[in-house]
Amino acid sequence: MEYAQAIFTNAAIYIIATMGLAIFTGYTGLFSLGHAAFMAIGGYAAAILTYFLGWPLMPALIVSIIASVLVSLLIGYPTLRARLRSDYFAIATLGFGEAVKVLFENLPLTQGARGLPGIEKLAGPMNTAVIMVITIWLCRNFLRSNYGRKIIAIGQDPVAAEMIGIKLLPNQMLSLAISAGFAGLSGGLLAHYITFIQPAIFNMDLSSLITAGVVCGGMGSLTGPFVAVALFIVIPELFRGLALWRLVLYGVLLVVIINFRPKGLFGYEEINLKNLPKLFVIAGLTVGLTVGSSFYNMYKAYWSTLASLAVAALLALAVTFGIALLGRGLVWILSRILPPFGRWLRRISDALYTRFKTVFVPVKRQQQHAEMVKKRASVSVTGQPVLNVRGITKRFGGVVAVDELDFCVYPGEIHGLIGPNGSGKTTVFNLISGVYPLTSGEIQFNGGIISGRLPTEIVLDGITRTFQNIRLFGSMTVLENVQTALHTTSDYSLAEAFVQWPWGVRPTEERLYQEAYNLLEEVGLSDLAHRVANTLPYGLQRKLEIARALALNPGLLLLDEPAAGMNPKESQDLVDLIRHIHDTRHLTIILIEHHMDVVMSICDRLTVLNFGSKIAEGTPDQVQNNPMVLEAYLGDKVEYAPAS
Amino acid sequence: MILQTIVTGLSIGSIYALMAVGYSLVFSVLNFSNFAHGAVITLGAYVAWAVMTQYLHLPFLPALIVSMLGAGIIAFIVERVAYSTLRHRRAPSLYLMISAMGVSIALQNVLYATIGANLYALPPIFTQDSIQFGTAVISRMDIFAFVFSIIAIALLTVVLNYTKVGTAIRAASHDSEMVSVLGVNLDVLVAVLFLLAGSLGGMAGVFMGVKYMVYPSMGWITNKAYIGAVIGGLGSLPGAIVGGILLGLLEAIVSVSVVGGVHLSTFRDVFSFGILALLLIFRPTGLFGRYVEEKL
Amino acid sequence: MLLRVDGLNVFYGEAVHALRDVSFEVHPGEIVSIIGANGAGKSTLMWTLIGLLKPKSGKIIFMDKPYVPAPHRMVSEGMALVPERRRLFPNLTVRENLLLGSYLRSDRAGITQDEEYIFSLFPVLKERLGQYAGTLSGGQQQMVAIARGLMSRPKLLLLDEPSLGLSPVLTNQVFESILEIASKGTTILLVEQNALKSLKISNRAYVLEVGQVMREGTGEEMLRDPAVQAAYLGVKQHKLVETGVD
Repeated sequence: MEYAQAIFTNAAIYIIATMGLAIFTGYTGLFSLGHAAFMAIGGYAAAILTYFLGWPLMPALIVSIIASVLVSLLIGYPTLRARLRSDYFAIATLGFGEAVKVLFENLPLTQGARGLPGIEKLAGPMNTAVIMVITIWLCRNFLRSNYGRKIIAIGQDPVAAEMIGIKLLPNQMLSLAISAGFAGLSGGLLAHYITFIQPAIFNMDLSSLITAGVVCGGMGSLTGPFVAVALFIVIPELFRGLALWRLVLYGVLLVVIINFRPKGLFGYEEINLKNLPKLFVIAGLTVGLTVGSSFYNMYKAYWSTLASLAVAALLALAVTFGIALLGRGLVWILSRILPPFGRWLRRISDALYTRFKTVFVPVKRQQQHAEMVKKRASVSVTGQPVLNVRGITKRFGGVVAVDELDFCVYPGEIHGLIGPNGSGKTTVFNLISGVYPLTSGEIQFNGGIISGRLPTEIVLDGITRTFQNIRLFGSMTVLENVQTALHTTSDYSLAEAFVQWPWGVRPTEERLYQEAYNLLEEVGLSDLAHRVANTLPYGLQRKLEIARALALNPGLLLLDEPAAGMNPKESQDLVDLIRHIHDTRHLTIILIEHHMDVVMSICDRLTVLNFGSKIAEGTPDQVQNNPMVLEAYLGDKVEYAPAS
Repeated sequence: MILQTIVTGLSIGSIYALMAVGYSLVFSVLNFSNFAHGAVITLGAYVAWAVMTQYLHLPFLPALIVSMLGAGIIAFIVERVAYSTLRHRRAPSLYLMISAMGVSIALQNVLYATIGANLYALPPIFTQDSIQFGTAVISRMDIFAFVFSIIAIALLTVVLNYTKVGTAIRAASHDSEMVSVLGVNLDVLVAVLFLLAGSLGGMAGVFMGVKYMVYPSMGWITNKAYIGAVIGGLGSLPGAIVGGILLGLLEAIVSVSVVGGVHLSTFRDVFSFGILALLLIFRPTGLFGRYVEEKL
Repeated sequence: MLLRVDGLNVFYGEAVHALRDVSFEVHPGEIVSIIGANGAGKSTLMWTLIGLLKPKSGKIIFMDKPYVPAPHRMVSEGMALVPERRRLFPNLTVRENLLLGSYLRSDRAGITQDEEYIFSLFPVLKERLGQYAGTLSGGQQQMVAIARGLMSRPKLLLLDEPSLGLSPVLTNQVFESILEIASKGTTILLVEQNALKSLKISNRAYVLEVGQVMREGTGEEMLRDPAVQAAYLGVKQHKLVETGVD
């Protein structure tokens, strides 16, 4: 019993750290190989407080969280700001882990490599279990909030995230800080459970364990890593003599999983009724193998090796199947009980919420919401150009991609940007949206200079875009894609997000849901709101991308070849949609397009580029009759005879 | 004293360079950091240990060749097992890195589980190792390692610049897809790449083993070589050489420095990682690296 | 028949159906062009033919042998691809770029002979042999790209957008050299956005729309086809009359 408790407590402690790493690595795709260092910092911080100063556990744990968070901000700021590639970031964190270890080995306070023996045993199965449950709850709440969505978005496509105005650095730092905080908490518990602490505990093996847990359990999931780490702790205990091979197993698992099942056990999903049977298969395998191997160990002395092996194998198989079958049955029963029960709970909470909403949601906040909705609906119309591009040039090395380009876009117009392939159209979009810095020239938006500003600032100023190759947050649902883009209108605090504070989070989330749903209705996707985005057909993905861009309530929308790869019907649909949003929102649009029928039918004015310079400008009719344009598209008049 | 420090620095630096070249070769073509390189180097050293002290009892040079071959083949097998599927699937380079980490963890611990955590010495190459140079005592082994490493790297440079396969490797460092379109079998090219990287790593492993000891976690030292490669600019061959040697020299100097009564040698590794951190923040492309703007 | 493609289907991932039941053929000595809008699947077709993309279904028969989705096999069978945007190795000299074009060959005499042939096509390259490819002008880079493709002495040369980013004068030069290469017996499959020019030099042509072959015919027929004229031959039909088509 005590033995089982020990395994349980160990698993719970590591799960806390793993949940933290899942929030960082699982959602941002950045590997922290020095995560054991955050555990060490938390562990030492808590241990020093209880050991030397006699603090009780809880305040000591809080300090350990704070200490880890502070250190994580200190190392996160420079490394994340530098936007290192993922392997550079990994090696930098490895170095950080090493530095922390050396530091603790040489500080007088931490008593060097010997460490602090005889820490009071303040952590046990009970309080650890409670803390673990709270940890999981907090993580889940965080991920479901506006803050979590931003981090998930960055992990799925940092470029697209920036293009809806999500700043990478603060959000990645937030994710690292949360992750470090839970690692610190886990370290503090560990020190008070095993009752001693020394630098050698927090080595690469520990970092490998939780990293392997996150990868094998599944990136973008909390329950997956939970299950994986639990198995990693439990399985070696079940098979004695395996202890030495435990780390080999982690390594091999990493290779196998990433090669053959890169999403791990539960990548980008949480355990639910549908995938619950999978969990029972895994549990069945574990128990089956345990039963089989202990049977073999018991009977090999009496029976022949072959016979005992055969019976053991059969037994293992039977147990596995039995548990898997049992799981199916259980899931069947649960699927009759849980959904109605859930609906019932939901009804009660809805009733309570509506009953007390007026009491608890401050009047001020309600007013703010009303104002926000009103403000977003209003449009300012002036005669000034919305966008004024003045003499912009962009050089890549020796190549001049855009050369002294001038053009203006006036309020409410659909302005076409056309030209042969390679004439610099997309580069112009990248210059307007700040992805590339200008070599020279100036861009004004609504009278203010935007060139030189950060891409995210330009987006928040009101210029949003779509991409030539669609960039959605692929494993989010259609609705979540749009909700994420509404991030600027969320108004609850991080603390509220963590506890899902009903009077702060809920009204805002309900509003975001409604707004996102309305936007989907506008582009005709509301029926598919809960589909995963990358399962949509191509044409609809394009519409979703437009809805996401509209969520930022832009003053200017840049559409980069929206009809590329569409058949005539799809592109007609798209033309109708663009015209519709243009008419209802009086939205100014710049359109890059190759389908001439599309361009000619919806553009008010065109700018024609060739070799990065403007060769013509005017209404579609004027441009079509311009000899320069004909030459750019058709080449000159040299005749060729067909080869015979 | 200064001479001694420089020779030590050059010798360890040239070993770093041998390993760093392996990182850079793989990185330049496959665009990921092969964190399994350390394990390959360790296994190379174990091969030397096995053939020198356990079986065959080979003298140093044949043993060196055997372990270079062994490490090359191991590197090749690692590629087949852990990377080729991902390569063919065009998986993100992050996946290759995770796979490499897995290999590294697994191989290192296979050594712990089978041969054990013991430290083994390789027989010395020279019976009388030190040469007296005025007040300085210089190790023959250090000079030997330096000269051999330089020769190996020079040979590699010749292969890369004057053979068809070498030209293809350099081309692949820019655009491996296009290289395959020209008819180069990428699987073969990558195999050659790993054989080259692995055998240079094996050589480094043997020198490490002679200089220090052979033990399962000796591959940790490759993190330093990796830093060397990053200093020079990951993916650049001259960068890896210069970066490795530079780091070796700097470490040798730090190791003998005393500041305010504290011997800095304890903090040598922290110092190296510190350099790495500063470099990554201020010049992530390293000394010779190239900068590629992401396309949208 | 040199190349026969029958019912070819290619996907990107699960969702994007890039080529749908594409069928066409190329006879020895022909110039065949494939025209279509951006995103129609032209480049996808080229990458599939050379063996870099694996088709989901369909038949490709080249030189009467079954197709293997591996570029080194297709190149050794006699196919060569000059890809869109040239894709030279800028860190290699022109000579080394050409050398890699002949990677699978070991007949020194033949290689030297082909080099002479290339210098006769593009005399300027002879002076640039030692220069890094990245330092060449756009037109010269296109010449090196075509030359690199020819160095494997292909039976079928796949040309993907050879006029991309070139000025009209250079475009003319490229098209002239395509005619010359064809006249020496190399069959050419040409993908072009410049539909007018490519149709003018083609024996036959196919129109690809959203991954499907929508029309086919001789170059002449296509030039006269009003639907092709409206969609691909430029901005307005009556203008084309003035520019000399018809």
